[in-house]
Amino acid sequence: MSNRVVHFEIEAKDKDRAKKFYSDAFGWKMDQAGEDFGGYISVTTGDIKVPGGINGGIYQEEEKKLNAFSCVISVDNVDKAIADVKSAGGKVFDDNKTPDGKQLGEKMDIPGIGIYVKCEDTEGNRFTLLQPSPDMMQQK
Amino acid sequence: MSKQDPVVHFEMPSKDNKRVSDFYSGVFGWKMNQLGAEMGDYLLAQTTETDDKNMVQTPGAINGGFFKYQDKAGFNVPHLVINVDNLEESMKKVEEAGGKIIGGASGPGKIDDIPGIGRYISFEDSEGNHVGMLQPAPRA
Repeated sequence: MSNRVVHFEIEAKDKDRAKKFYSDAFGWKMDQAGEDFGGYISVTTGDIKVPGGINGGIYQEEEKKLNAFSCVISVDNVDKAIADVKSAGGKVFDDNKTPDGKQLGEKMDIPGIGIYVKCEDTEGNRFTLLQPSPDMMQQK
Repeated sequence: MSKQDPVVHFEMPSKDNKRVSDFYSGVFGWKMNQLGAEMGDYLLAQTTETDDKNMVQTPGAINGGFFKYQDKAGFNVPHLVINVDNLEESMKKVEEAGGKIIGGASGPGKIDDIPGIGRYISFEDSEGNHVGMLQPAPRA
């Protein structure tokens, strides 16, 4: 699954409102994760075994900056991908924080999911790199 | 529960197609395919293999494209494309659920009829995110 767009993320000021919108308008299935995952909502848009579609998530951001979605791109080696993004003229953000405010730098390790890195392309579009954790690969 | 409408495609704005093409092919090895003026100079981004009917082969991945950046709603930020069965019905559902219809390249509130692709319109969700909807053209 290397270097493909495998997941999407929706930024919401009010995640419960967004959850209701997408389940009403498109029938998406929503799974609310606990506070240890920052209250992230996992979104299922269809049967994952059917080619041609992806699933995603909704996160809450009070100071919403994006009025857009971002794509999550799966990579084999996140350190190499970070270096490649920078040398190709993209940006890598280093403002990740834990829920209690600890600075994490460029990489955020999400238990059971993988290493997550926020980036921007040459056009100013945001996207995310994900080096999936071995646990996640086993589930597939 | 009603039928789920899947996310099938992503789109991002680009100010310079050559530059963005170099970025994503260089960093992620995506296959970029520049279309002609009759398709609005759209730049197709293939992140995963397709068959001769352009259908994705591998579950869990999608392809996308880049459109020319314009300083107006629907053309200034990245969006996802949701596949729907009946565009008019989904437009109604979006408005009932608290979203707003933006429109397509043909104008505010207007549906684009894209040859060989389908009927397309963009909208704003409950959080102000821009999203596209496509009722695909029947496949030959």
